[in-house]
Amino acid sequence: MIDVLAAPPFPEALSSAAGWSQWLDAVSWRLAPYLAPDKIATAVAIAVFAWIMFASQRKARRGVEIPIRRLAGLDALDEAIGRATEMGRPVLYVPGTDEIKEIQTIYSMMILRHVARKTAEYGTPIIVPTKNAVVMAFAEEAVRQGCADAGRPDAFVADNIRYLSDEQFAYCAGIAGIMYREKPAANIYMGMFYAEALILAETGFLGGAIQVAGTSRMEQLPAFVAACDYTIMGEEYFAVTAYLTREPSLVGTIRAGDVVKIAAIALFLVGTWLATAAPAGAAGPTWSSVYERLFG
Amino acid sequence: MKREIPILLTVICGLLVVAAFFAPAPDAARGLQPSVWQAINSELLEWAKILVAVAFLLGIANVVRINLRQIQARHVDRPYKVVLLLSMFAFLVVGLAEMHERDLPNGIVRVLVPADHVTMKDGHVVAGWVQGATETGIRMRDSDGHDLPEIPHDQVALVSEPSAKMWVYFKIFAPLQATMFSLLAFYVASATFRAFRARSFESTLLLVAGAVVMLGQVKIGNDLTGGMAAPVEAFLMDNFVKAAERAIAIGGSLGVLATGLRIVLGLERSYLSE
Repeated sequence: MIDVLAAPPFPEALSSAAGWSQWLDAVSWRLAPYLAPDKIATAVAIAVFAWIMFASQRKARRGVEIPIRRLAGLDALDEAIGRATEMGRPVLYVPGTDEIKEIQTIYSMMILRHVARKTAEYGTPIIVPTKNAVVMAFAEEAVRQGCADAGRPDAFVADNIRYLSDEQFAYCAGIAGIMYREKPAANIYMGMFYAEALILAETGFLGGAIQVAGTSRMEQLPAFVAACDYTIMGEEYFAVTAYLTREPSLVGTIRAGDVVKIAAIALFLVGTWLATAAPAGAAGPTWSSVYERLFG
Repeated sequence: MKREIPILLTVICGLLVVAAFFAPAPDAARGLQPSVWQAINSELLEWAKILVAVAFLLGIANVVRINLRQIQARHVDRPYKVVLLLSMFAFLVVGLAEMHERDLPNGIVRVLVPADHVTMKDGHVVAGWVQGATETGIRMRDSDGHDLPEIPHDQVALVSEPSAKMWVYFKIFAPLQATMFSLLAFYVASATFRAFRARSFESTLLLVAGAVVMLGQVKIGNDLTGGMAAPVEAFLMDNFVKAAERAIAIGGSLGVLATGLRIVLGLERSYLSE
């Protein structure tokens, strides 16, 4: 019978899979009062990612050029705002349907600030319908700050930041109403979207607006790809502010993401090889099972 | 200080929530108590609920301000604005009346809250407003505000407490939501029609793959292709689609992690007007 109160001993050698497995047992048992054993790998991964991120940011601040590939969807943001200005019609910015606790919504507020700066520079009104009152407060602040960044604080119109409804399809209907009545020339969808994505994008298409969408929600990407002129997808979405501002710390963050992806590919390859080479029906720990405990 | 205090609060709250995420679960066998970080996290979540509730007032104020201004300016859509404001306040008043039914004067309850009905086992129906239940029976009040004799539990067959708020929700609001949602079917068709036009090599590839997937999803499609569509569809979904999905998911997750770290560590301040 296993005694849960007795600390597992450290192995004498780490030359075998069984030794590594015993070492992991010993470490996780001793860390258990401070750290959930099943989250040790996550904590280590986050710490490594943070270290790479800070190193990349330092590198970028030192002036090392970190290139970012061209993103047509982001170049199209300027085009969309310029078109709205030429037509004398507003820009509609939809910050998604989730709450402010969703990271995509927070990121949407950062993008909104840049879009608001552009619209203020061009003197074009920007309408921001929100589904959540807290998001509305954030959106107000982002647009106000964007106008201030452009040196046009007078361009901020409080009535254009609108709380519509907390109900998904009431919000969707409200936006469709704005599209029909106020006829925005550019619709920008940035954030977390659910089933309303295609309804919004198709209504905007029928209104003849140029449409740019950005989300990392996989289920709604096909809807935006089919109905919008440009779609910023997945990780591209989190590169928007770095791409637009070229601020070294933000560009460094993107480089960190790329470094981690290369490391992840290497881990996948090693894991695949270990799983393939693992003996079938092995009784004790195998290198594959140890690897799974470390990185699984 | 206007900027530093919010950033400091963000960093402190962010680190506390992260600490709670990594804190170990209580383990009676080893004598591990619930972590203090988890208690703090629960408390912070309660605060968040209060903040969200207060923010609702901001939302209501925003709706009222914008629509009242348009009504005053004699905007062409003002009838709709009037309907919106009237509906909102009517729903609010009815909802509040139902919530505080027992504390409100009888005259108000009689007008705003529909009467409850208690059906007895002998078929007799008692109408009034249920005030609560004791160990022995149900207490009710009549339309004049007088307490009715307690109805013993063993004589009650059915208690019906209709709600005007829920009636509006289920009879008006839910069908309207369903109508909006059902538009999706038509929009899927129109968007697919545009996306599936073979204008280039890539769009032709998309058209062919889409057609195979559609045929493979339904029995008749699979039968029409002699049983070829389903395996090809499964091959496409399990290999190409899943691989692309995972690539997007990993990239997106890293973006979420980077942004989260930047916010929690106070490096990302643009959302706070920095």
